Amino acid sequence: MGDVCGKGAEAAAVTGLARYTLRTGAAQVDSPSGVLTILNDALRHERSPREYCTVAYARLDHVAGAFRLTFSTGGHPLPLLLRSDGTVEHVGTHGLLLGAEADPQLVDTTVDLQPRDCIVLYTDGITDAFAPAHALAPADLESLLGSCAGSSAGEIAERIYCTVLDFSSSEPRDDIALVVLRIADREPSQDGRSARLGLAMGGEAA
Amino acid sequence: MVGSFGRRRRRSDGAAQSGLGRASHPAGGGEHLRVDVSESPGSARIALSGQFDIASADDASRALQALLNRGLDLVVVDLSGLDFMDSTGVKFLLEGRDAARDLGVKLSLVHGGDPVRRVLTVAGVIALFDDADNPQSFP
Repeated sequence: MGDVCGKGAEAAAVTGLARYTLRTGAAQVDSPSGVLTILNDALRHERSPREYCTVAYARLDHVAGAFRLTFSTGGHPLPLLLRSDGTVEHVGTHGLLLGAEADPQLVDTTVDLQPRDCIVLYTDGITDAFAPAHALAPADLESLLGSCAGSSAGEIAERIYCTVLDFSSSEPRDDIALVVLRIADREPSQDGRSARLGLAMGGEAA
Repeated sequence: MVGSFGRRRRRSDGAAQSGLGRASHPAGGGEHLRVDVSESPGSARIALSGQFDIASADDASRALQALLNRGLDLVVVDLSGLDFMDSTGVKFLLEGRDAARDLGVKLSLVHGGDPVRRVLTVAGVIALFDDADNPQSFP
């Protein structure tokens, strides 16, 4: 999940750079922080005047029947973790906006996901699309997500998305993007492990 | 299962929507940023108030660059009057920091209220700037 600072042709060029750099970076190193550091280097070496972007990069491993999420962020809102009992927290450590410094010292965070646990990645458009008149503070977003325990990934995404857009009938001031990943509560089925994951994503351009 | 949404808007009030058109500015807009500059010998303060977004970034950048070019020892960027700032504000600050470093000017920040502090925290940049309210906290 990423967000480029700015709009127009320059921002589109940065988006392109970020997409192919992340794809090739992921083939070179395992750690999400390492992948983001490669993107940070690319932004600093290939963009002048300097351009910046924010990314939350996560890798999901499925080992011995358990799911483990490893992620790193650079300048991006931290992922939200909804446990099956309804507890919610932002997880991870804030990392430096990509492109800002030569050595961003990014870190990785690992979370073990149980059945019916849910991870939400989002852009700041979710909190700020109608700010300052109608801002969805991170604590409000945690409360909203907490009320979604038991819902499917698609239902959770719709709930958050509609809550934000219901704030105002005017155009959002920022792009909105959201990814919801949910570990299913059923046993593996005959058609493979995809049945154990729920995934919903979407967005709205400002 | 993979689902997707977006490009359609559901509202509890049933208001008609016109897709992605931008006939009018949303909540922000350049007219909502105010830039006040005050000077004392060897230093200056640029105080931003209102809303800082892409529509107002150029005005702020021009004002800051003009101050940095004056050969002052210290320029303070005061964000305490802002009630909204997005990532273009972070970009403005980082560009100002680079320019100040090149010109040998010390640049420090007044961080402002919770919404601005949250943006700086998420961007991970707070530690990059001298805190004008608490200069002892940085070497």
